[in-house]
Amino acid sequence: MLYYTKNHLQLKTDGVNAEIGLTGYAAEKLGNIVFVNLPDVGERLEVGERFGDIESIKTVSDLISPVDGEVIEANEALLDEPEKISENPLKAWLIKVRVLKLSSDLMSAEEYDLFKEKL
Amino acid sequence: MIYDLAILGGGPAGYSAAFETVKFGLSAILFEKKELGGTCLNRGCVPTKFLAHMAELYHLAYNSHNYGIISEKPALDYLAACEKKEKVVSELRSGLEQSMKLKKIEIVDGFAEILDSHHITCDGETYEVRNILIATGSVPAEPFVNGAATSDEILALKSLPKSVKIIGGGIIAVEFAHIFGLLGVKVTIAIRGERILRKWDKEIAVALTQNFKKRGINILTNQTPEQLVEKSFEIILSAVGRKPNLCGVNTSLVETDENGGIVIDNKFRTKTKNIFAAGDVISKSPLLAHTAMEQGKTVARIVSGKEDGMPSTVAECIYTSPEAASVGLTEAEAKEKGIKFVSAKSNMRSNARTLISGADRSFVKLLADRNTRKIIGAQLFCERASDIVDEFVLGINHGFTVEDLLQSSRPHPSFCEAITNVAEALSEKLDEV
Repeated sequence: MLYYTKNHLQLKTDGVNAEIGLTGYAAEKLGNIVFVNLPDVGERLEVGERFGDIESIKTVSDLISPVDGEVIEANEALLDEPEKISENPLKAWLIKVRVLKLSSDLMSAEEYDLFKEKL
Repeated sequence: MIYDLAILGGGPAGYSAAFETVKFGLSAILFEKKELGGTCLNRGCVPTKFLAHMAELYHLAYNSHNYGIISEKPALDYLAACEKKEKVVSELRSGLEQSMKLKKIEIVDGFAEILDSHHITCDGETYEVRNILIATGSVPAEPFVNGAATSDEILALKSLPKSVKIIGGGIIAVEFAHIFGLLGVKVTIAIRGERILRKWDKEIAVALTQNFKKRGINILTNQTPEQLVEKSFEIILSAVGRKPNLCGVNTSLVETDENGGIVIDNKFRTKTKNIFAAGDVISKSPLLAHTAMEQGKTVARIVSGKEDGMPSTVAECIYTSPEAASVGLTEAEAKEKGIKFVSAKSNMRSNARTLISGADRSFVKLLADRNTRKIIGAQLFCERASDIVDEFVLGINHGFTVEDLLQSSRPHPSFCEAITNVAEALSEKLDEV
């Protein structure tokens, strides 16, 4: 299943684990991404809490967790090549998480499209 | 004569205590077996900052074409640099000695030992004293690799090695990596853990790691003991910490912890009421010169009955390029303490002075209590971080809110504009929660 958040993250989940990344919309809006701060493996995430941030040329944007869970992998390769996020955000996942609970505020692709239109 | 305060050790804790003691009209006698100024002036902060400055100048000269200055590639005369370094150190040392003599602080050149709570002996002479301050500092921990050099020995080198392996990932390790890296030495850092600067905010550790990577400094993580001792380098620097120096200390009069650090109460008293300890020699010392100075002064105030509060929050700095500085709580520490906080970060890409200086990725991060809006911590990784951090130190010590920080119009263009930027970002975030 693929979900989207109001903070412009996308979440691909099989019900047990989830892969979290930036949406194409967010990557485009941020422009040149110069750095990404990721949590450590083993770190606990909580819905609505900051788990890292993304630095673009002009701004720093918090990454807000859409799940309660535990980080099982962080895409540390992005530290060396943050531009990969801008190039292909759908492929450049940020973290993989063991999911305990999903946020109740997730959107489907269609809902996210509508959400974006209203912005 | 009975001295009001006898001080063992002429480093930052010792000399600061001496100056403060005489300020209150009491008498002070200070024993130093080597050189006044301690590790900081002779084998630590000052000589390493000289080398860092020199290495940065060399690097700038080497890259001057970036600013349209075309010149021949600079050559390096390391021996000349070392001579200049010694000159600066000795000038500061003699300045310190003169100031002390001017203030009528008695300096005894020799190895002193505490006989009992009221007597000290040095070179066959016995001195009667009312109070004693142990400020004997620290020495580099024993290298666990045969033939490895300590930071003291590295500073005494008269020529540059071609390659150096640095065992350890703390401040001393990264500062030497920075210096040697800029001077063209092939540098490898080897650590047991995952990350350098493990006691620091993770973001600073990651930022410096990335910065080092770009500069060709190799960081080997998760090293086994066998890998750590691997010796295919011209020099191995062991930077695995420092240990308290208990030379001359009568250990029956004080209690020490498992690392040999002297245990003190919140008034810097050891288990013997009139024997105090301050600086690197105390248990769990942060090993900072400015902390030692503050502690030394506090002891003098206690001895003279002018006692005041505990030393204030102090900043820790790393003199790399960019510099790193930290004061108060990090995010991880605030979380652990269960404090509800909000943090904001500002990168320096829109800071004109930073761009002019050609600095790499840099940022300032600020934390405030969610309810009171008072600032509780700041972490910086940017040019002049060791200067900029001072505003945050002052702010934390005086209970400033984020808005208090914003009540200053900072010069433009300046590095410290970053404070305004991050405080504005934090103020906005606090409004949102």
